[in-house]
Amino acid sequence: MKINTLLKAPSNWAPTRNDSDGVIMGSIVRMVRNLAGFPFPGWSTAESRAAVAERVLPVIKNIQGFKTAFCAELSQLSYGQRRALLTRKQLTPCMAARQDGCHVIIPQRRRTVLMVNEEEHIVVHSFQDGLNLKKGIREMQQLADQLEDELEIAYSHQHGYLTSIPSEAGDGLQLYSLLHLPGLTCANMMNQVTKALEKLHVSISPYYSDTQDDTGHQYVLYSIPGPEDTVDEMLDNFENIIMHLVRREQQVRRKLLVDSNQHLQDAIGRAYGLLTNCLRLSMKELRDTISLLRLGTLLGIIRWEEEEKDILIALNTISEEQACLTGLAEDNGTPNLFQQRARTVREFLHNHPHYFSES
Amino acid sequence: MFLTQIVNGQVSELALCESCARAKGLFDPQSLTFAEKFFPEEFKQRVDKLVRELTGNAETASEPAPPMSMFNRCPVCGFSVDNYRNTGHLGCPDCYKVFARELDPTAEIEDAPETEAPALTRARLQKELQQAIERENYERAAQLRDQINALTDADA
Repeated sequence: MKINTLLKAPSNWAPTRNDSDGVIMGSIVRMVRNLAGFPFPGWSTAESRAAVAERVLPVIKNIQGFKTAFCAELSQLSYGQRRALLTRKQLTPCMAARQDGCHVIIPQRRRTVLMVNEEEHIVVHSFQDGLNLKKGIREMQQLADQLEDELEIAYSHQHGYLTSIPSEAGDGLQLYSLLHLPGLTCANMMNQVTKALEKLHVSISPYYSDTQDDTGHQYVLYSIPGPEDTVDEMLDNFENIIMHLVRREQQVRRKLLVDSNQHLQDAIGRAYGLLTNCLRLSMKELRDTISLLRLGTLLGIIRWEEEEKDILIALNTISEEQACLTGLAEDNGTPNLFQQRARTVREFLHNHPHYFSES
Repeated sequence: MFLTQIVNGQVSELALCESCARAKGLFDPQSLTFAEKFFPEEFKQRVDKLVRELTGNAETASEPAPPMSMFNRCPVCGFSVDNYRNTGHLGCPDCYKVFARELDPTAEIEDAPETEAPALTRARLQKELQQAIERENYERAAQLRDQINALTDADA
């Protein structure tokens, strides 16, 4: 598979019809494994990384589903292609900066990305709808068994699967979830929520950057593995916290609708007005306004003739596609990107009948 | 910092110094209160676990700690103990054995490796062998071939 074909396919993060609550947009199970006898990628030479890739790649290419996968060494990918893959979460920031001996493998039919010589020798991300982490864990454990049959994996009885950061050694599994939290963001509660989550061994960061930027009101939650936590304990704790956060977000949305109805309708109306009339649109504006449009749709402020779920998916797809095009524009210098973006959104709103309800 | 927990009428109290409280994520009383209100059940479970861990550790704390690792540098990958202290990362899987005492002062020490990783040695030798053949240095190529064979025999 070629990179252009890959970038035209829907992103792994693209929400599906199973995302029912409009808060949880997807989850990732991250599995890491290292080969015994080789330095970790962060401390290795190009020769060592090449030796790891030489061992790992033939094994991966023999696994069902990976035989016809897209496979590239990072040094073969342009800056724009890396940025496009990064926005689609098919590369991690750490991996996007790497060069020789580092490979990314993306199968066509599995919602999985496999990276060789990322922070660890083998890193696999399994993308799941909603909060379907159990399925992701099962898939990753099956894949881990297949890898362990062929490769000598670094493991110790005391620490579990060994990783470059000792506090992450153990089951070699980490859990992530992407949440859309416009209610808590608009109610200025995110700082308090972040501090509260830290106490519960869960980290939260804005989806589009590591800073305090709340673009698109989307956040990634990450379960920090404790040294004595089993996978089941970690999963239970993570799921409980997320479901609690989802309930709080929904409560805050309803509260905003009752207490600050005019402010909320004004914010959503302004976003709608901008999208229907703009001639130029930046990515930040697009993400912020689409987030408010999603909120307006979920609260019934904007009503569509089509089914609500399809509209939510389509809105998210526009945002992802435009981010991908922005990344690729680094290479081919596409002119008028801001105008193209604005036109795409205007056409979408024109082609999908809807009305703005006032109460 | 003082942490008091009352479960079924049983009171357990813990006194923590500032650095220990910070390490356990208990340094900001305001956010602690918020966490308790926002996630009451999850917070209670976490505090219960913390109390169990801390009281468990207190029982074994009187035993004298064994001496720290005798290695300052991993013989397999060359990573130093200072690198670990500065970055929190390790260099290779064998660093876990070499710096075992640094990672956990109470850990039982396994035999630490003393040489370069065999897999890397083999990869390096094979690369040198390839170069020797390309340069038509067959004497050197024969030596390298023997070294690779010896490594393979040792593995078997």
